[in-house]
Amino acid sequence: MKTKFDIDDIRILLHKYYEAETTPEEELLLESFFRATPSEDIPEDLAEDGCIFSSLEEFHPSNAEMEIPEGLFEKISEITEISEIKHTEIHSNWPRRMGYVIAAACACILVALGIKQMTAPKDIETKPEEYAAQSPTESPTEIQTDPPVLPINEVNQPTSPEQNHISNMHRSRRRNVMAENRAAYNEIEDGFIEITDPEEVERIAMEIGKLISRNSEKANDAIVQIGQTVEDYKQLTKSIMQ
Amino acid sequence: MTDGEFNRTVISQYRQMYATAFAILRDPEDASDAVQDTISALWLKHEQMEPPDNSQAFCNRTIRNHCIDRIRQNSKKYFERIDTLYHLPSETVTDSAASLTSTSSLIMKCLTKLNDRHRKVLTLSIFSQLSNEEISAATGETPENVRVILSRGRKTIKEYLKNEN
Repeated sequence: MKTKFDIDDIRILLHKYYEAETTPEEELLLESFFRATPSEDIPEDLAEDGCIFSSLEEFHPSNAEMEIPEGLFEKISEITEISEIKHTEIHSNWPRRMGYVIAAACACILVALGIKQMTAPKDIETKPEEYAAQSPTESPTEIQTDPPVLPINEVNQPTSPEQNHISNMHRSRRRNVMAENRAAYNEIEDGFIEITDPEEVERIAMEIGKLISRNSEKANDAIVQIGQTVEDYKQLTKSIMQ
Repeated sequence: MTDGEFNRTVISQYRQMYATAFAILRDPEDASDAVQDTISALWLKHEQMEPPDNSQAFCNRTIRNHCIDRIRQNSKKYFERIDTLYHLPSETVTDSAASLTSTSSLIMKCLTKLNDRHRKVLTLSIFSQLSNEEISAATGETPENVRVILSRGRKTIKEYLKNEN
């Protein structure tokens, strides 16, 4: 038999219920009270409320209705697996992309350096036969395309006496090359050189190619090293997160 | 939250989440979709989240909010489903409708006599056990309006049963 205290609590809750001030938990409490209390123990004035709450319970879903559908767990597992694969793909691509960007930047720098190196005068004392073999021509060879022009004074201004001496040495050597192979080079205005001999153009292109391939090997080694460093960083990050 | 923590705190609660979703939406397919959508949304941002102190309460609150959003976005489908479960014509009877006592049938009969606005509020309270705030979020009514509508509706039901008996 319920105590007076309990019945008084129920009356308060019922008053709150009809004022729509109860929480769902308090309404469940009222339902469970009227379900658990025999009808003879319920005061007469609460009998109608008892019927109402017993009926409201019938509108709740049954346990049979709330059975987990087949395959739900597998579908949930797929969500995390698919997202994990996409996550891994995105994150494993970025070191490769970075490598490509770095390789492209290195290639551009190497080409620029290669061209610059090719315009530097060669050591005439060590390779004199190379220039002696070229026969001077009376007039420039007609070339289908525009002849390549190379800037003479493209080096940065020297900042020390030693660098000034080296740069003067390079300029004098360049002038000597031009003097030796006058027919292949025409100095045009604004300090640029016009190469008119197609064989000379071919020779210079071959030298540039050799320079690029030598330096690209070094660039590849650097890229591999960068890739390895990135992998190490990833491993370290993973171990820290774990 | 790491992947392991996510499994322990969220994935492990999927059964309770389904039960909560079904109790609100009253449709197995809709409840399954709600659980999958909720877990998918949590998974996408789990790395930015801290593990909850109470995973059961966290998952319960998250799935409830999602179900309320679904009701708000497609309220017609929800109310038609409740009508199908409990307000069918006499020639077609579901297990749910057939098992009702006479008092329950009278309550449903009383609901059909209410205007559309009051009926929706009372349906959400009786069949989905939503709180006043949740009903307000699902219907767009203010919490005070919900309270007034519920109060009048409950008193109307009690008066109707008293007269019928």
